Amino acid sequence: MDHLTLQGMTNFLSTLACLICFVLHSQKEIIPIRIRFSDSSLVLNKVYSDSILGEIRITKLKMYLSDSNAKQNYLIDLEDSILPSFHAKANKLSLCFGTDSLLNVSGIHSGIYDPLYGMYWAWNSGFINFKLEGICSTCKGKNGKFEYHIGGYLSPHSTAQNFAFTILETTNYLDFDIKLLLEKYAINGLSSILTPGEDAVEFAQEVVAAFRIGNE
Amino acid sequence: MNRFFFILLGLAFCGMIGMRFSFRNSEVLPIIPKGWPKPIYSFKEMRLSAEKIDLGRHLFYDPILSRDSSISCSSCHLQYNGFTHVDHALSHGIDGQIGTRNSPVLINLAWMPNLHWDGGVNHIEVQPLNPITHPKEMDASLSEVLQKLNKNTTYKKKFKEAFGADKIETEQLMKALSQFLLTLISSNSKYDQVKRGDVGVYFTEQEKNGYNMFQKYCSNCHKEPLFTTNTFASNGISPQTENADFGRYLITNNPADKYAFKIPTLRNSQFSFPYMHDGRFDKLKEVISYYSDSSSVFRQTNGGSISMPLHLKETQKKDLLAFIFTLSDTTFLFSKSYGFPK
Repeated sequence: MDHLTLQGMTNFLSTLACLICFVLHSQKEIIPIRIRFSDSSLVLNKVYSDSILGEIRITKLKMYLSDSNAKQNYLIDLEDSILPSFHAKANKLSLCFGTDSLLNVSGIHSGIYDPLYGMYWAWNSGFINFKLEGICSTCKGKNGKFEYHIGGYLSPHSTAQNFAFTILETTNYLDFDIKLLLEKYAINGLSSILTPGEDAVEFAQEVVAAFRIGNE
Repeated sequence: MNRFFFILLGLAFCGMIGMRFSFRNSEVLPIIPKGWPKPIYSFKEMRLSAEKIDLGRHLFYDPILSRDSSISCSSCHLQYNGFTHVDHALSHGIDGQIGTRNSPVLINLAWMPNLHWDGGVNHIEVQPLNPITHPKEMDASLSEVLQKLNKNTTYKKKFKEAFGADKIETEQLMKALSQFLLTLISSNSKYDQVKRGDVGVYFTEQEKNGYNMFQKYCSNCHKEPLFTTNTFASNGISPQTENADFGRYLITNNPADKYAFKIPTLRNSQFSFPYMHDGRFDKLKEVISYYSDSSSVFRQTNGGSISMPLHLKETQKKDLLAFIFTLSDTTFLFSKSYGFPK
């Protein structure tokens, strides 16, 4: 009888352990990023037609985005064919938009922080955390041009931001959709932001707000 | 056969040591003059080396850094003038284009927390990016400069010696230039010699009078021993009517910083004409007359001020000038260590 009880307990515990492992591992841990224009993948220099923005073409999109869980920093550049993936931990994606303030005051850096990538202001030392350029037919800028170089690390104009998402079983992507961002700015607001300041801080907040988790 | 094997082994071992030592830099620790504040940059942490400094000096004098290889750093920063540009109110760069400011002197940069007239550069390692890429200065792209350097066998060798790098990259280029800039220390003027108590060196009566006046009227901003506080001030000179330069405000967006510029050092100012951020004064006596006779408003952004005009007598102006001349350091202005590399 005792032997049977022990055997039964062992079987139960083994089954329970397997079930726990199954549940844990069935949550997605690696989430790739997608850059979108509404429901489509954003392709540089491709013309999109939009009811609000008219004919729109993005010529440049770069940003610094860090994976806080994996402690990995990325310079996302739409010119690159491969975009990074981000690590979820306990169902949470923890991200940081922009660059650390210490990086902005500690001289020259290499790798993704090399000024060669065009993401550094020489005249006002510091990184450009986000760069978006393009043309749209309904935009207020000269010749429909818009240019957003978003940087700044000194309080109260720091543009770096931490944000997070809780991921679901159905989460497959981290989406960044620029359509709403452009509708707000290129049509109704500033067609260019090229220096640190309040406008850049506000824009940075809108950049973060343009991220979503994709549950397809 | 065994002997031959051991000879080969010995040669290989020596070769390995040689390889290690070919990239062993000779550490350089510039002496901080006695009584001076600590530099912003720790020379030890910056790992100054003779090889990097020498490389930086070569680059400083080489127009290879400009788009058409016509302009070098020394085009606007001449050693004999305290490493500034003379005879031009506003410095000119590539294709004869005229810039918006007079090039500042390069003196005692190791003590400067911010560089440029508006303090827009917060670290010496990133300063060279500005003139190299500015469309009116050297107008070069970083990638093109690096391509040129990587094709140059002399520079490939020098970078290898200094950094152990097979490929020249942005970081090494900037560090080499900044290490040379950090060594530009001026601390052996007559004033310094008097302060040190060097034998046989004394102020004349006129210089002594000038020093007293300096301490009374000028030292708030041009604080000894650097002869600058390295902070920002507006001395009330009227902005230009066209394309007014807002100075520090362009960096901070703080209205209190409008028309404020970095207080320049007075060291070697006898030779660093013209004066002010826009070079509007050709002579030092014009500067003194401005403070003496102008009723402009002076505003120092870190507090403190002087009441203008100072109403100096002509003899007092001459005394003050005589004292300022004691800040000229010919050791610095003519040192072969800083000059065109032979």
